[in-house]
Amino acid sequence: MIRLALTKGRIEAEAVKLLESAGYDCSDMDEEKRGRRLIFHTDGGELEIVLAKAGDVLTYVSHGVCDAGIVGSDTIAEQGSDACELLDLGFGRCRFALAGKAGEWKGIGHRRLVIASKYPNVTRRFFARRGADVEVVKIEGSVELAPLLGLADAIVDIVETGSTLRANGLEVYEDIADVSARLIFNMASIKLKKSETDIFVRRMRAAVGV
Amino acid sequence: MDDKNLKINVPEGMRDLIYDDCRRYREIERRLAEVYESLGFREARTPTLEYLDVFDGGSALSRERMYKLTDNSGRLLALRADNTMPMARVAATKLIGDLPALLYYNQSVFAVQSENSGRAGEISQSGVELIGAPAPRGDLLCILTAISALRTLGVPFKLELGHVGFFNGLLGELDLTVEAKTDLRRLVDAKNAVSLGSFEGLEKSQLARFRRLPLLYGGEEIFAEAEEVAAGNSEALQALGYVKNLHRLLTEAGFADDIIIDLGIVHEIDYYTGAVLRGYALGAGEPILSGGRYDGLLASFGYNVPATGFAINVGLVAECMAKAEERGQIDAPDVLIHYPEEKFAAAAAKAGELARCGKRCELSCFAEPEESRRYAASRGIAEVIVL
Repeated sequence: MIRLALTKGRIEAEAVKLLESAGYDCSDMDEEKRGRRLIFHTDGGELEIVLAKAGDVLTYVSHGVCDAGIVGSDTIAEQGSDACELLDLGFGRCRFALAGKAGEWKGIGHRRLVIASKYPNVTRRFFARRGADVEVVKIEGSVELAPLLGLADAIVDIVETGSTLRANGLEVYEDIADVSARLIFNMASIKLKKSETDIFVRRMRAAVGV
Repeated sequence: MDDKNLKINVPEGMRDLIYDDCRRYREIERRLAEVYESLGFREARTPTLEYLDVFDGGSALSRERMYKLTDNSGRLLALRADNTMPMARVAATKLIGDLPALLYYNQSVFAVQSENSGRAGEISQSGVELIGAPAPRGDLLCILTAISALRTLGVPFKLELGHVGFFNGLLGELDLTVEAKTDLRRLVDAKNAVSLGSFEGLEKSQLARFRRLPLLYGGEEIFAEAEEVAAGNSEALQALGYVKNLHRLLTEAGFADDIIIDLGIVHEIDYYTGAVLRGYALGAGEPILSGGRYDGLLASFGYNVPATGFAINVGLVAECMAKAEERGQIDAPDVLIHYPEEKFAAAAAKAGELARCGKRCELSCFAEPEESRRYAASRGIAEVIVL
């Protein structure tokens, strides 16, 4: 049996579609049946699905209480992970970008910049590569507010179409990295459950079409 | 944490061990010490505090993650960050000419863990160092000790065998910057197939080769593919040949079921130079055993002799044991033999044969194979033989 931690929310719907097309019956997760449960079974019992928040997916997989996980690479980049990233699932595509008020980016200069982000580690790494000592402010909700209210010179955030930025008079200054949903595995699980892992990964690979 | 609560709390990563936890730690350390001593190892202890310089340069742990303090003349000290480096220091300064030195130890290492990671900052390790023990006999003794040690713990396990020469040989062909090589090493070690696929600066044919590395693990069936991947690279082929030979010798000794091969092991620790080991157990998300050959390390302490060794993470094993105890599966035998009544003789002979290669086995008391299988699953017996 493989226990898979699945990121709740946007990734979940796409992931369930993919699992179904890989031949795993996820009807246990149907709206009318699920209620408030967090653990689900596929029909054959070979796959158990656990719903969790993105960061927790990494934690469960890294501690080995879940064998596998489906999670956005944005969370992996921010939180760091010792799990094996076996497959790019192709959905949940967006990108990390540096953004701010349209036309106001002054670049890295002698003045210390303030950058707001939900992703302080990604932000620090991005600027550290350029030797820029920026001040990073962690924001929990709509990061777009920070430059508008004058708290930050720019933000680092994930951008899908850029429409939220435009609606608030912001623009992308620079793309940082691509983001998509990944299938990750615990290193001990792929060793101790090799044949089950191989079958699961092969079926998922076929469903993704790579 | 509010400062006035410090008096009644422990620092992040530190743990109190009470009652059953202590019992398990003691039991594990006792069983392991028995195995080590039965194979000719002798105990050594090193100080909890050393000059930081002892741990520098091998990158077993980065300076940032060491617990550091200063002595009364302002010199930097570190809490024991690794066991191999102080043991190497001891051998290079106090055991010269007294080779091979077969050392074992039961002592903690300390590492600063990231906040809220739930990982232990003090890790009890039980391990061995075989100093002045060249390949292949040193490796064979080391692996035999590792398998005997893991077996005595009574948790289902696999010992993984690799060779850093396989990856290093392939890496040597590449014209990459040091940073790019470090990135590539990290990606292969983490089996990060996704980022490997888009690694920049590699030719197509080389990229295809490195993308196959994370999947080069399993039984002897992977040797054929490994041969293709290593084609034309003498260092990688030599490493592969060495692993194949070890695998053949270990199979002859009856250890085939305990071993898996992984030629994608790279090891984050720089000082490894040859065959490397990792042990995995059901119930632990990370390796419970880690080690390998480190022929260059003693030279950095001024004594150029070959060496190998491994360490077992006692805390992780204790957690596996606690989980197994909860399920009523502690000290489950390795094998359950199911037999029809008239084949009792064959069953008894098989049990004797398994016991000789160190496996614990039980003759089933059930008449139907299905009942035996159910019993094995609930008792935590990994293998059922039906005669």
